[in-house]
Amino acid sequence: MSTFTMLLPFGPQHPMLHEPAHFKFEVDGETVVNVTPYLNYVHRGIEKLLENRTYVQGLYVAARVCGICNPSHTNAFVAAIEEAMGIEPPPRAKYLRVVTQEIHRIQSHLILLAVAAEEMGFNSLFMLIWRDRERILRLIEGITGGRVMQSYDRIGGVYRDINDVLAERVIKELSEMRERIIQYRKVFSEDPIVRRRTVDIGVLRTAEMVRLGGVGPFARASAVDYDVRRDHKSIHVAYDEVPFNVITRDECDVWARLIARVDEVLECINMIEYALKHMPSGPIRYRAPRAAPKGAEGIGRVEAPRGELIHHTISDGQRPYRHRIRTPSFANVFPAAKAHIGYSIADIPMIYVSWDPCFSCLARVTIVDVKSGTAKIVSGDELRKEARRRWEK
Amino acid sequence: MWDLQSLLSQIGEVRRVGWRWEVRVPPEKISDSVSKLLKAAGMMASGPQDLHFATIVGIDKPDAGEIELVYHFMFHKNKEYVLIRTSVKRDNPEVASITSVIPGAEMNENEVYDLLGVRFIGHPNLRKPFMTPENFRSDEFPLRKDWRR
Amino acid sequence: MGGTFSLSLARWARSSSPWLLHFNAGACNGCDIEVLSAICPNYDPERVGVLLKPSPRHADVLVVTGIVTNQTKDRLIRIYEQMPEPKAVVAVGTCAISGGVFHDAYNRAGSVKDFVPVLMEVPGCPPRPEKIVEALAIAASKLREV
Repeated sequence: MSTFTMLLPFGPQHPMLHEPAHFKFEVDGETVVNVTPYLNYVHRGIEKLLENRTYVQGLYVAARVCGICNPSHTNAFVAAIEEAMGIEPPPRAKYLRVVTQEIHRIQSHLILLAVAAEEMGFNSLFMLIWRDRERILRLIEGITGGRVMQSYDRIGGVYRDINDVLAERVIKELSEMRERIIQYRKVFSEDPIVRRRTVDIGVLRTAEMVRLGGVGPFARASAVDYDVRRDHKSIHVAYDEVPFNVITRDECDVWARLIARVDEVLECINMIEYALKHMPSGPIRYRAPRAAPKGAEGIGRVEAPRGELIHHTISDGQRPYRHRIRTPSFANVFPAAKAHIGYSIADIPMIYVSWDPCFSCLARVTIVDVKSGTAKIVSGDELRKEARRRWEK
Repeated sequence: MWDLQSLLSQIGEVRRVGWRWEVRVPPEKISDSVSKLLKAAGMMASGPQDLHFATIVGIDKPDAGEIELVYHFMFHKNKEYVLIRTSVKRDNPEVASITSVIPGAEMNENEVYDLLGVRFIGHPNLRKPFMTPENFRSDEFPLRKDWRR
Repeated sequence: MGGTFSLSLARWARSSSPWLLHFNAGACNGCDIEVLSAICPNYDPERVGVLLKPSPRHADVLVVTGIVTNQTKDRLIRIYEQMPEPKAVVAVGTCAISGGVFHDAYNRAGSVKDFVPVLMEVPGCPPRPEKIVEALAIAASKLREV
């Protein structure tokens, strides 16, 4: 038996960055044999809370399911409510939603890449990527008015418009950003340290991934060809009009997960440029009703940075009777736990960050040896040292 | 040609709602229906596993005396989205677990058990402090409508 | 004599370069990511020795984000007790101060100040990194006075 206490964030069901979740790793010598996640540390009861809020109030609660992918949550919430109400946003709002979704995907993927760089001991890369992320945040602030929390999507449209000056600035900054991302791609694909820490680590084959229900870039790196943006013909976002490629890779390991995200960032930049250049004119918001018919249902499916996000709402007039949120990390936690099995303790941090959860979470880990039954508490630093020791052998 | 509607009508009462299919089945047939879906997905594509299981939504309906369960599925091949709906008795909520055919459902079933109290028969590891904190009693199910702290 | 000197040296070092422990007591990550932004390149308090530490026994300032849930409240108190004196607590974000949008959530046990003494509160959802850095600077100067 072994215990692994880490800080991993959890919405109603959302493990990610910096939040307390608890993983129990059972190890045999150096090899992980079983993993059990415990997820109740950050359970706040949002699904119950939403039943006591009107739709307009609920918008702000939905955004705070998760701070890092809050536009995805707002978007999925709004899509579910709009479907229940039977309304469709104006074309310009659909394009603006694409812009905010994609620019947020960039910053979210940059967090993961930075964290992965830090976990493998590549601190300068961490700092560089984090600096670039700060530039993206400034653009987000320019477009939506909020650095992190935005609540940009409204029921029936979006909250504010974008002007030509800002659009030009975004395009200019993003084309500069593209150069840098291509540089990072080179580092991630060629640097020997990166490759030796990631290639053939945490392998989860396609059939296994589908069986366990993984979503998002984590699944696409295992050649699961599923992207909600392409596969769900949503009338709430203009993904059917903006061309893009779905990035899949067949290496199935940690390295593929990182590279898939780098490629997605490049794809996002193209999408934003296209959306800004082909933005239709017109209103950005229609006046929406305050209530949906009783018993009406709506399902909002959105590709959040971490994968398929589902909001399923059942209306009770002005507020939801029941609102279910299935976050991508909740779908991924089970396959991710299985990805650790058979790999060594030193690989835990790399496999763990590769599905995009939390990293300071690795602060305290209890590892129990199955054979001797002894327990020891290991810190994240020690785990990193362990990895270095093994690497020097 | 593979006909989704005729396949789904073999499972239960089927209707098309917007962009998705909805099938209503009795609770004792849930695991049978899921096996049929899996088989259909296997016929359509390379392996028997090309069915994406997304989630289970549990809805408490005290007026009707039942808890409704909605299973979300998607076929990887043609990206059709299917909801399987079933209702279990509220005073003795029990349904067969689908983890033997879809291992990915383990966490979802555990969550529904934790928040609504539906017992999944045959689930490998149904534990109660899963989402709820440790100081909740074992008969407290926060998403039930009559639950008060 | 020597004891007093080393104590005052330690106090001086501590108040100039406080080490931080970040604890998420049930936040949505918005504040957490801004705390991280605050200590990263753009503001870079690391160059004056402000480091994020994983262990409470090394930390001078406890940065708490989020509503305190029933599950994390005991851990919050335990972490606070493990920190060496003098110590300070900075509550970051509206949730940590008053609960914010989660004020009536069933799993909220209370605000941070209900469980541990709070020196600084940084309002905002989430607060900007500049404000977090400022709060840390003030908390550090208070450490000298304790």
